[in-house]
Amino acid sequence: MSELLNSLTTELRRGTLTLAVLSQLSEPQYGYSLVQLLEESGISIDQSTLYPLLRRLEKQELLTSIWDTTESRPRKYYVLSDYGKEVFKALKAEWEKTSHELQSLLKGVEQDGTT
Amino acid sequence: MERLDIYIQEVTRRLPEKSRMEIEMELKSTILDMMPDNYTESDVDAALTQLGSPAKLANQYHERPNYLIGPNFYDSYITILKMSATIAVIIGLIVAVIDHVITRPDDITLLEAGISFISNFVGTIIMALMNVFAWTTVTFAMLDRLVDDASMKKKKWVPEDLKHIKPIEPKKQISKGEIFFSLFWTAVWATLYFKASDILGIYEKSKDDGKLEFVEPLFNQEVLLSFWPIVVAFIAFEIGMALYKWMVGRWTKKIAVLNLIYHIVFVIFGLFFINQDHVFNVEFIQYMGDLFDVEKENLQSVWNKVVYGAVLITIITAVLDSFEGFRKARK
Repeated sequence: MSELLNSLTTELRRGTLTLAVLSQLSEPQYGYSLVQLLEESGISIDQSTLYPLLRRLEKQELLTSIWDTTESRPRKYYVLSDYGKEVFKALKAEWEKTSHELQSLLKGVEQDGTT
Repeated sequence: MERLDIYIQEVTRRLPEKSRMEIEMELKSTILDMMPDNYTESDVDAALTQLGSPAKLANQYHERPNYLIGPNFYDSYITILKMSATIAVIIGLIVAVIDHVITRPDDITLLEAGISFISNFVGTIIMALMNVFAWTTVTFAMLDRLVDDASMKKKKWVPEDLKHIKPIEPKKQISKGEIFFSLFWTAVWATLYFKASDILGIYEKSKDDGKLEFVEPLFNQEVLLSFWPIVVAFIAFEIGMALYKWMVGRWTKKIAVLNLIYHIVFVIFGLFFINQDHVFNVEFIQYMGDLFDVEKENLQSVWNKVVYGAVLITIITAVLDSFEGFRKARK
């Protein structure tokens, strides 16, 4: 059962990952600082998924990137583009709606189960 | 080379060349970020453990589909593969039997003959299956990529679309059997064409041991084979047509028209073909003349009659089949 549960959990989280990443990128972040930000909020993310995801989001023009070469080692900073901001807003609204709906659904089950 | 660099190299060598440099730089700076400034070997190992297998990481970076034939076409692919493989095995069997009958030396035992037959058959089948597999796979892989791009631009499906699709009536329906036989027929005549010099012709019972011997081929092989590009075009068209019929699943006016065009072109080519010089093997004609006691001076005209008889049969068949196509489409 735990194996199935694992794969279901991964599947459930996969979609929220994009939202989580977009939410943290109104300020420019580089790869590892983003990981830390996410982890501070308790979201642990597979790093082998995160870095390719950033590239993909950039290709989809949701993010823009810039190499900062002023510090001791060059770092690639990602930040939301205008289009990305728009998409993030819409996606956030969608998430809030979904989670609200799901919450009332799950509550219903709980009540049925207890009574 | 440091373990860190080897890791990065293991990732980037799996990626398209144009994105390699960028990803290499990004990965390196990321991994260095993950570790304290004066990192030790165990820090590197810890960081690399977090990133996981380089192959898996590289896979995540891939933007293109990493499959050959996607779910859109997989079912059709398997069906066609099974069908073609069956045809290949049957044709292989026929060819092996004929080959065996013709070429078997008479001084071997039944067991030896059996072994030689089976090994011959297995060899032919393996070659045929490999060809079938390769061509079917390549075709479908190309199809998958072409259609995928095209359907991206397509507009959304609405129930209104169903208006244009007529319900399938049993009489119009093109069964899988029909497709199978048209593919089978194509394979048969293609085999005959390319193997004509060994198969089509006169067989004679040998006086010594009573076995069949191939004496004279019907066609002049060189003239016959000089038409191969046209023949290959015909084969490709017939296969394409069979697949198209299978996809549509029923007789339509378009299929009937295609069928008509095919028959017209086939007949024209047939007429052109038999009017070439030296298509038929002179020895063959003479042999037949002797067999049926035709006088020498009449031989050519009698032979012409035979040929035109064959042409007539072909034309009648073509007309009937074309007509049948339209009849099925209209009903």
